[in-house]
Amino acid sequence: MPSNQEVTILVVEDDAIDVKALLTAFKKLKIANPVTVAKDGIEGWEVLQDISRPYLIILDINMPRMNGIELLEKIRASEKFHDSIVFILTTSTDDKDKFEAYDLNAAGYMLKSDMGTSFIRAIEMVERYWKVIEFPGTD
Amino acid sequence: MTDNTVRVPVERQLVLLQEDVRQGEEWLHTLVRGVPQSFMYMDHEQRIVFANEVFLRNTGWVDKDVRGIHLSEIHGPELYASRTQHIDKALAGETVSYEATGRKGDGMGFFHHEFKPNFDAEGNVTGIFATATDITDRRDIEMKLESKQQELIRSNRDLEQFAYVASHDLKAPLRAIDVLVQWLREDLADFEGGDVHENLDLLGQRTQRLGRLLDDLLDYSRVGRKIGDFVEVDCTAMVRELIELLGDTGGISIEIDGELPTFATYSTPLEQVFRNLIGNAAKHHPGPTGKVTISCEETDTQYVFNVTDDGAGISSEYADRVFKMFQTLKPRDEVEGSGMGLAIVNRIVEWQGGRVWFEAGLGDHGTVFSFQWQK
Repeated sequence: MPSNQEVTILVVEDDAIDVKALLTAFKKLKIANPVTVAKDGIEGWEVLQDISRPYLIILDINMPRMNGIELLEKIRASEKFHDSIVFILTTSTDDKDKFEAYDLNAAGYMLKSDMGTSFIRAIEMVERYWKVIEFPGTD
Repeated sequence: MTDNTVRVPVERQLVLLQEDVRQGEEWLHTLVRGVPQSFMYMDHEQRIVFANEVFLRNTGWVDKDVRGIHLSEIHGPELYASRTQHIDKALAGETVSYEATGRKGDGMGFFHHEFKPNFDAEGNVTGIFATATDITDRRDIEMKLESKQQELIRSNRDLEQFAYVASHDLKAPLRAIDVLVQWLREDLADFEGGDVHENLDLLGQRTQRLGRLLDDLLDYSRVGRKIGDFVEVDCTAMVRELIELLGDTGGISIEIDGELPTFATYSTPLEQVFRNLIGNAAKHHPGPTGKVTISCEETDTQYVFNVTDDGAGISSEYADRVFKMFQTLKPRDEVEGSGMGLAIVNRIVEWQGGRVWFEAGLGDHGTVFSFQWQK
């Protein structure tokens, strides 16, 4: 990353314990970046409106009201947010979901197996990602 | 005088001949009247020459004299129009057969029709023999079978979906419980009251077990759905690989006795059966050492595979029970197992048209599990 701007993390996840496990993983890895949590696609879209760049999104698929794939479609169709970096973190082993996620240019599709190690590995990877990769359109 | 003696035999011969012809005709009429099919002969102008009772009954011309009547008049314009393409072919010298709905007395039926052209000495078509065989019942049964099949496919799909959703949705809170137990362990690491640590261990184990039961339930529901590819399978290689994957089985040796076949079949389900049976034999062995053997026999249509162990044996009173879902012979705290392994084996083996059973081993020692696999 060129500047010292901190990456904002937007977590879109409906399961309270999954959220807790994610936040615990951040804490264990001593990551102090600002994290916002939205509980479904609709709330996720609302939070996105006021988010500051650079940011990345960790997105669950199975959520009520608006699921992850639907939110991703909306993101890619929007003028302002179409270049978002989105990582999918889901229990779904459905090939259809994986296909659609990558079809909508997800940066990566990760499976939640258990909430301990798999979350730590996911967050480790995401941290490495933002430390190395140049983010789009930082203003 | 000589004229008379010559003429009488000829006249007599003529009478005899006429008698033969009459008998022949009578024979023919009886035959045609007796067959259960509709039978009719019409000339090349499609006028009825002869029709049997079944024909008259079907077409609604009972007790009427149909000789000389044109076929279009018998069938009516609509039905006749649907027949003309076949009649034309027959009039051109072709034997035609087709199946169609047609009139059957007061209602409709489904018939198999045959038109056979009749040729004169010069090869011209002089008329058509037409038979119609009533296959209404057969068609009914075919359609019922088709709809039953559709029902079955639908019901299987529903079952698969139910099992997937059930195990998927049931696993979500399970993952939560699992991580909560982890956090409790971490937070209570220094706690020294009561049976807290033992209880947390038990809690963790039960959660793992529930997870395995759900996975096995999903596997069970998937039998016959995820069948993989139909390929050439080298059973010796497959079993050897499975033995390797089992890894450290303590003092239990697993061997192949004799030859295992190489043949074309669905590899995934076959592997699953071997994996479960061989894994079971190794897992349930009570002693520190033992032997598991895999062998094969052949019949015209099947292979019969045997997995033999020299373990504790299974009482024949459990013959049916062991193949049911979630059945274990030992408490789950002694031998960890969901009880689904044999139920899955049973379902797979039956799905491809075979049977699985077990018998006591040689000298009433140990067990032999055998299963039939179609060639």
